Amino acid sequence: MVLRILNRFIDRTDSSSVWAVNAYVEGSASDDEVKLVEEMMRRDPALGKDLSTQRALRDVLSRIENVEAPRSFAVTPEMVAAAERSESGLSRLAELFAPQRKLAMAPAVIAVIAAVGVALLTIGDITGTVDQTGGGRDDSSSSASFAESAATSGGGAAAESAPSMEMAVVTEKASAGATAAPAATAMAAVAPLAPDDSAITLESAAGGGIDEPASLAAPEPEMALMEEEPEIVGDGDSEDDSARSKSGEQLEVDGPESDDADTTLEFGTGGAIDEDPITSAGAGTGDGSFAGAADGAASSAAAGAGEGALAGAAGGAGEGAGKGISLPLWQLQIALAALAVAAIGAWAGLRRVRGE
Amino acid sequence: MLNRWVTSRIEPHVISDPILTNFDEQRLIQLTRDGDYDAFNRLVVEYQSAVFAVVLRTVRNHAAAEDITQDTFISAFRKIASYRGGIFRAWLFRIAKNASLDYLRKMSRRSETSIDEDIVYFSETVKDDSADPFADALNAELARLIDHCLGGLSEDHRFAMVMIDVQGYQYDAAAESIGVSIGTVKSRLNRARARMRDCVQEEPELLPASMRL
Repeated sequence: MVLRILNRFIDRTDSSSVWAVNAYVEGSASDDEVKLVEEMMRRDPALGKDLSTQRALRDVLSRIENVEAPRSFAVTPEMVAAAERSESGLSRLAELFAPQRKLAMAPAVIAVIAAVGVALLTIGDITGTVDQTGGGRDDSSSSASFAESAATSGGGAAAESAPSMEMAVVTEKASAGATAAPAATAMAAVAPLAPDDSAITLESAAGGGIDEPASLAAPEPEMALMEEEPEIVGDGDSEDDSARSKSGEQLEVDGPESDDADTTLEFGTGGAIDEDPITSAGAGTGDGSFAGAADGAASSAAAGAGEGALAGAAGGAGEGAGKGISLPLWQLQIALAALAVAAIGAWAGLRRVRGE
Repeated sequence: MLNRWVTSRIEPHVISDPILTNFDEQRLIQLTRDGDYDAFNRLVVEYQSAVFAVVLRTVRNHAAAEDITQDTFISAFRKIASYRGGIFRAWLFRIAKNASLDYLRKMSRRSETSIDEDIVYFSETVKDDSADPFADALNAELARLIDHCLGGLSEDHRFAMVMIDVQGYQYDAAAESIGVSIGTVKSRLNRARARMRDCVQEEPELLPASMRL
């Protein structure tokens, strides 16, 4: 069965009877092939007429007159020189990537594999299973560090940091911790530096005690400071606002440098939110990216920089005790470089396959 | 007369041996590697008709076939270093086939193929010595039908059929030209014949009695 499918895939049939039929039609069948075809015709009477038709058709085709060259196709040095001049750089590139025509699709296959690899790395980073900690990491560069929330025990005071892409995970865990311990939950959200339409919605599944929303405006420059507490935007009622900040269900954070950036954080708490200041810092840049940090009771610092689809890979810096897989940054860089090269080769190869 | 049919053809599938001996051919190839245009052009003279015929029946456009044939020989001269033995004619056919397929793909994207024009070229190549005008007309229609059906085959199937059923090459030469195994060529030819049979049956009135189901 597999062989049959494979043969069909490569445009072959696995039956020797087909070859016998060919030979029969061509009049070159051996005795065994003739017997085989005759046996087939006994089983399928229509086959005899079918093969007669094919024989007649072949006879007609064979009577097509030979074609003579209408002119000389002799090659001159000028022709060769002109061909070399007219050969585009793309053609040379295609031949470089795929010297043989049958291998022209190889770069495309490599590109797909590389893309899948990068995607898996990125997804792994997003889901928090991959810790990208590059050697010689520079917080101002693109290394990312992911630390799981430690707000898991009463009064938990583990410092946390989280890059932007892990915000949901961290928040969820922080919320869970808050359910268990009153002093545990704090959260911070950081508005993007300059996004236009960035919006974040984080929801946690912690139970009860959610009463009413609270809005939190967090001026971005201040948010970058560790100790700065975001300004709570409310209706002027300090008590109400304070209450909202404690058990708030919804926090809206507006970045000062963005006109309509709207970061909405939703989480529920067990009604036991500590009044410790929300200490967090984060910065995010990039289209549609976000950055944020959530911490337990003590402090957190995180800076994340998201860059589109590869935000988790390329952006974010932070510190913290991380678990999970450690992935040096250089591996990701190599993967990205391979992806770029393969993509170029794929493009050239595909054009070659298409005859361009 | 548009069509020149023959009632019979002497050894229609026997391709005459090249005038050049294999020794001569290899010597000319070696000279070509050294940049000898005259040596290569002797090879061109030897194979240009065969290459042109296959290309014409594959692309079904005379002007394009000329261009492709010329490009084939230019490309062969430039890439002669990549020739590593085997049937030289098959190596040439492979270059021609790739160029032909490139052309067909370009045309399919541009949708500029002019079947009506090409049919004339194909029909003119069907020969018959019959003096019967009615038979001539009928055969002309048959030739057009065959041309139409041949053009409806996939490029791979058409090339296999042209190489073997029209040009009369052996399976091994065709396989080397196409760059696939002999088994694949046989399978493609089998399918091509079946599709041709189905196609020509769409107009049974044009078919001789032996071809009607």
